[in-house]
Order: sequence, then C-alpha cells, then structure tokens
Amino acid sequence: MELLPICDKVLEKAIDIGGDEVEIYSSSIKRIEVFFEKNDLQIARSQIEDGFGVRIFKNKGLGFSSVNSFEEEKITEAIENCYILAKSSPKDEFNQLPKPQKITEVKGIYDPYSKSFDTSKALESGLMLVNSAKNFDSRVTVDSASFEAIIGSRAIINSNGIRIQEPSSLFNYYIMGMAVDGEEVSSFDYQFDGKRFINEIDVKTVALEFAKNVIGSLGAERGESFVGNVILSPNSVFELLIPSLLFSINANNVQKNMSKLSGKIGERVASSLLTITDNGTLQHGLGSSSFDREGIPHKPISIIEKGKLISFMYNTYTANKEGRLSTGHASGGARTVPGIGPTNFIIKSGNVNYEDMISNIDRGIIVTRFSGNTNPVSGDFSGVVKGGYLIKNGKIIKPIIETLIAGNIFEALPKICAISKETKWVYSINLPYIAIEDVHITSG
Amino acid sequence: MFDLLERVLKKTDCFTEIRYHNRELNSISVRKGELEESSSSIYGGVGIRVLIKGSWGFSSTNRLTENDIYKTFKEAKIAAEISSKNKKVKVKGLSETTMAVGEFEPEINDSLKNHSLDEKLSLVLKTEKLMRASSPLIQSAFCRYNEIIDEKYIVTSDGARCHILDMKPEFRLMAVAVREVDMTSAFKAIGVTGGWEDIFGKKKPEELAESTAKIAIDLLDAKYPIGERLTVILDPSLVGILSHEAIGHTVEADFVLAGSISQGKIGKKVASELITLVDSGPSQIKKHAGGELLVDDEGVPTKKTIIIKDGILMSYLHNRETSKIFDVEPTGNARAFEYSDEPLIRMRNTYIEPGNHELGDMISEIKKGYLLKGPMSGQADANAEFMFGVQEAYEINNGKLGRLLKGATISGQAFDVLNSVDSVSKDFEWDLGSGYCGKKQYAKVDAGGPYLRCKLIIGGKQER
Repeated sequence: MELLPICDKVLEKAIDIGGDEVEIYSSSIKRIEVFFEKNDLQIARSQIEDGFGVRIFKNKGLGFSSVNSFEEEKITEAIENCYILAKSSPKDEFNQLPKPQKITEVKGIYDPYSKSFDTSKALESGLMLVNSAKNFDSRVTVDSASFEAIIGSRAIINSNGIRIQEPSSLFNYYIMGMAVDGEEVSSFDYQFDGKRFINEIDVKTVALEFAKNVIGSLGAERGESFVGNVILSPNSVFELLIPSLLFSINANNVQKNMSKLSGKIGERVASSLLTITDNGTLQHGLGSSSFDREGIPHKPISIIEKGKLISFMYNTYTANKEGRLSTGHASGGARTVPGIGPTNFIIKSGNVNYEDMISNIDRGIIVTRFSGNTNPVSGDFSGVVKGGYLIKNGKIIKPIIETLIAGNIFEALPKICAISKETKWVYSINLPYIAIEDVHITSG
Repeated sequence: MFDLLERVLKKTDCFTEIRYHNRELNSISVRKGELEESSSSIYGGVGIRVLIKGSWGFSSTNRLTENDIYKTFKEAKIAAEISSKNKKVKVKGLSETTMAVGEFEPEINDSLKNHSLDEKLSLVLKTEKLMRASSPLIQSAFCRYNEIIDEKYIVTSDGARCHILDMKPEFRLMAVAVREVDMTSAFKAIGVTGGWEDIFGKKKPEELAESTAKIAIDLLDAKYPIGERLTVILDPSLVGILSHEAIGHTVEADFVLAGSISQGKIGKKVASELITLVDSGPSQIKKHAGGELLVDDEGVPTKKTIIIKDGILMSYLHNRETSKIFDVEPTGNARAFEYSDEPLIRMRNTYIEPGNHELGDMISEIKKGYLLKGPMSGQADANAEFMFGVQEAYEINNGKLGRLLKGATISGQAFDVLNSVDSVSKDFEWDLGSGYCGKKQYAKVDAGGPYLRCKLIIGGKQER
C-alpha cells in the first residue's frame, strides 16, 4: 500500500489546525497465524490492519493520537484530539522532532515472494514445527506453538522534511512444552525464531532443539548447594541478563535515575571479556530496518567494549535532553509515541569452545533456561534453573531439578570468566554461552 | 451498521459470527510534573469467526466497506476449511441458547464525553502535583487517567442481533516517600463501568491523592512482619484478587478441560459453607462494577453465574463451545479485547457474597493476627496456589488494631484458605475495577467482596 500520499494529507491537516511540529507514522500489515494447543491445531486466523499515529508539538507541548483508519472523518477527529492535547500539555523544551538524515537502504528485510504467502502455507510450516518435535520422541508434549507471517509496509514523515516508506516481511514461530514419561514431567522449554525470507524459514531446527531439551531433562535429580560456576546457554542469557541490560542502557531510564549504569560511561562495568554492540543495518536481520520509528537511520554502535561502558541507546527526545543526536533507537509502532529499543543486539563471541568451557569447570552447573524474577532497576535476580545440568571435574554428571540461582546482574558482569566461540541468534539478539564465577546455587 | 453486517451475513453459508467493535481510548499520565503520555486513539474494525466441520477460522479487518468485510469472511472460511483437514479434536458444536437481540447500555451518569480532553489532562496534572505538595517527604508521584469507550454490533447466523455501548474510566495514583535511605511507595486505583459521576462522585481525586501520599509516608515508619501462619482479615480488594486469580481461573472451562484443580469437583464441597462465590456480567450488590458486560462477544446475554454456593462447587465459566461439551447453558464468559481478537473464556466481575458479621467483631475476636489491605503484584497457579504482596498490614493484638507493617505477602492454596473462613462481613466493595486480566489478550475485569476472616501464611522478612 502506498502510505506516503496519505501521510502527506494528514501532515497538511495537522499543520493547518495549528501544529508547530508534526510527525506521522503509518503502517499497513497483513498478519496470518496458525496456533496450536495441546498437540493439536487450535485456530487459523488472519488480520488486515492499517493506521497511523500522529505526534503534534504545540508551544513545545506534546499530543499524540492514533487511528486504524484512513477515512477522512476519522483522520480529522484524530488530529483534532491530538491538537487539543498538545495545546494543553505542559511545555517541555526537549520536544523537538529530528531533521532528515541520509538513509541507506538495508537489504534483505522484504521478501517479494511474501505477497503470495497464505494460510495454507502458514499451516504447512506450523504442522512441520509441531510434528518435527513430536516425531523426535513420542514423549514430547507440545503445550502451545504458533507460526505467524507479518507482511506490510511502514512510512514516516515529519514537518522537518523526513519522508520515507519501507516494506518488510517477517515469519515468527515458537514452540513450548515438556516431555512426559509415565508419571514424570520434564522441565518446561520454550524455543522461538524468526526469518525475513520464505526460503530461510527453518522450523525444524527450533522444533528439534526444543525436543532435545525436554527429553534431555528427563531423569533429572536434585542437585547440590554450593557457590560455583554457572554456564548460561544463549537462551538463559536472554532470559537472565538481557532484560536488565536493555533496561539500564535505555537513555530514558538512565535520565530518570532508574538505571544502575547511570553516570558510568567510560567506566569498567563488566569483565574485559564482554563486548556488546547493536547494529540495525545487518542484512536479513530481524531487528534491521533502514530507519527507526522517527525516520533516523540505524548505525552500528558500541555499547560495552572489553568491559568498558561506551554508550546508551537514545531516541530524539532523550538525545535532546543531553544535547546530542539520536542513536537511531526510537522504537514502537503507530499506536504509541516513540520509545527506545534495541535493533540487532550482539554479545561478541569469545575465544573458547563450549566443550572446553565445560571441561575447565571443577564444580558448576549449566543453565539451559532460567525461570524467575529479575528486577531491572536493582539487577537482583532469583529463580529456578530449567533444563539444568551438574558439572564436576569438567564433565556433565546429570540433569538436575529444583535448583535455584540468585544474585545480582551488575555484580555478576565483572565475574564473567569465559565466553564461547559458538553463538546463537535468539530472535534479534546474538548470544554466546557465558560462564560466570561465584554464583549461589541452591538445591531445593 | 446492522444493515452492512447483515448484507454480508446473508451471503454466508456456515455458522458465522460478525462483530464490529469501535474503541476510543484516551490516556494521560504524569510523573513528577512531567507529562509521560497524552494520547487519544480510535481502533475500529470487524472480526469474523466461522465454524466449519468442527474447526474455527477467524479473520479481522479495519477496512469497513461491504467488499472488504465479505473478503474477511472468505479469509475466515478458508482458515476454517484448511484447519478442519488437520485438527484432531473437533469442536462438538455450539450450545443452543437465547441469543442477544436489541440495545444494551450500562447505567452511565454524566457521560465521559461531556468532559473535554483538556479537563482530563488538567485533572491528572493537578492530582499528581497535590501528592508532591502534601509533604516534603513525597519526592515523586504518578497519576494516570485512562478511558475506554466502546461500541459494538454483533450479528450471528443463529440469531444474535445486538448493539452494545460501554464506557470504562480508570484513575490511578502512586506516591513515593523518601527519608534518608528509606524509600516507600503507595498505590491506589479506581475503575468503574459508567460515567464521570460514577468514578469521581464518591471518591474525589484530591482525597485519593491525600490518602495515597499518607500511606506512602506511614509506610516509612513501618516494620516488616515475621513470617508465620495465622488468622487474618482480608479486605474486599484482597478477597477480590483471591477470587479472581486463585479460584476464578481454575473454573474457566478451557482450563478445566486442560486439567485444572477444579476438574471433576462439581457438586463437591470446596470451601467453607460461609462462602458463595460468583462471576457476574451485570453488576451485583453495588452498581458500576469495572468489568460490567451485558452481552458477551459471542452474542450471549450475560448473567450472574454462581460458581460456589454455600461451599459447594456449582458451575464452571463457559463459552458456547464448552457449554456444549458439559451440556449446560453458556454463562456468557466469551470475551474478545479488540475487534482483531477472537473470543476466549474470561471472567467478568468476580466476588464473594457478603455475610452477616460485623467487621468490628471480627477484629475484636482475634488474639493475634493482621488486617490486610490492598493487593500488590503476585501470581497464582492452575493448582490454586497463590502468592500476593500486600500494601498495608495492620497488627491485631488482643482484639485491637495496632501498628502498620510493610512488605507482607500472603500465600497458600486458595481452596484451603476458603475452607478456613470462619466469618464473612456485611460489607461489600468492588475494588479491582482498574484491573486488566491477561490471557493471550487483555480483558477489563473487576472483583471484590466483603471482609473475610481466614487462616493463611504471612511472609515478611526478619529485621536486620
């Protein structure tokens, strides 16, 4: 759908009514989903949704309105409401829209063949996802699974001259469940992935990893209580470390003094083994696009370099507060004002093989999944190890259950003692295995 | 709108449910004097569900021409047809019932539309400021006003033809008190189905601001309780959250079929005979419950569903599909959050009926215990085990209310707790009307009840 001419019309109306600065974000998508529950197909569904979100600044006051319709009457109503809010909102000198920057097209985020992707193709992939897991071992039970295709286009224009549109395609899938062997029920496991192109879709890998994990955790016994090394799998790094890291490098949380990393730019915050970057320009990346929610191009940025904190992630508002430029991390869609979020977030691989990481540990555990609470403000975490394994003298001894780990993420970052060569994309986040020293491990 | 939807319905050749849903959503929030959100949105569209050979298909669109709506029907039909070839356990059918026909609107006093967005924005700015101005100890505050204004048309191929209007405003406040290294926060939230008078008529924003700030300050001096199992009195909001989270979910028929703890318990004693627990679409006992629903999203008129009567489990919560399986009447619990969501079994307003005890007597009979008020975050499992945080815990010693304590949690197995109830007060409040329940999609719900005296485990922490 050609969105820019509609955006032009909305922008013109918003300026006419009295807006000082105006931004229109518009999207049009088709979504197809097949959803499975209890090993069976539950429902197939599809959705068409178009709409736009308009941001108006009046005397530096903010108004936002969104509407999922391009009907004349609805556009007018949305703009009127938006203007009323902007006019009455308190003045905030940092309310200023960005200026246009040169946009370089990021390749590989739209598959032209996706236009003909339909419900029967989604069902085919969904069935393969569920059946691959079931066929691996009859003890595998799929609690729920889904395959979803999202095909569409988004556009952004503002009164400073930003005016751009881009199509994209995305295929997401997940599977979750457990293994049941007589009376025994294994740990729960959850695997997911996504692809940009039809010919990249690989539901089998996700299904098999899920099936292997749940079968492997059968026969688990109670572990031991000790202080030792923990190897986090890419999935458990995603569950345990990533939420608090993303929260604390979000400039909005930094400026509101809610981030443990506030005021620490240039300081050592982690082991020198740790390097983190974010790059929204990777071809075929799930977090890639040619521009962010405000029309700013993404660029690779360094977040942590050999343990030293280099940069936070900014949108235009938080950048204005510090008199700098946005890092291109404005996130969100037509329904909300721009927030801040990562694109393709990458923890750099290390220099040891996963096998060697295990053999270097005298006493420790492997955590395949973590289920618990992390407090992103304080960094405190505590929770249950799912799909855990006990390591002694460099060897995996047995799968373990009822094992708890607790600690603080910001205290754990300096205690990273090994990072694997192997990495895995957990959706748009690329993660290695990470070993951390001195973790409190409690057997229930 | 009926004409448009019925023109499409006439062209269909299978069970078809067409639901037009338009939602206006206005949200304003202010934190520490800074505007965090001032947004006004309109989301409208049509969701169509069809049932073919024991399989559902669902499709939705925001495009409202006859042609687009018919295309959406065809998409749903294709989805159902393809599914029917691959679904193992087929839908047995839908229970027959009297479908909703006509106009439905809850009681609304002073429509939210009579009040401008400016007025709502200034109210939020003013209330947030009031909290910070109330004491130098209040270092930060937050206030949010949110309103949902809905209009629906539902037509089905088996006779539903209804037009539904609804309004649900919410107002929340938080105050953070700081003294040296100590920091405490307090929350209050109200939400109703109704208009401006219905939300702010009895509970004035300035009074809410004052009491929220006061609790945050009082909590600065509060100590933590010591963990133990003992007698407590739960306030209506805690009775509500216990009824919803720990009991209500286990009686949703889809969860029952998946093996929840309430499976096979109909007709059995599951709670003290003092307990009658209800989930109702229309408000009961007091008006303007926040989850009021007159017709569900399958087009079934809602009613009062008695889940537990005098301690005996009487009913599960159903949609048309599960009521056919259990061979009972549908209870009107099928709900969809937006037009693009298909209906799922959800609660509405869940509560325990008041008894005949005086709260004062209930307190004075306790030798050692607590009066607990205000739920914080928590969780409950399919086996009815729960853990919730409590905002205010007042000590009871030898029948007298004592100190306020902070950081308390309550936990236990909800049916065990309801079995331990030995008195139920005459009072009744809806107190979770600002709440949303999450189960694949959101639903506006409310819950409440009287004061209950029961036994459960209090968690706290040891003073260092």
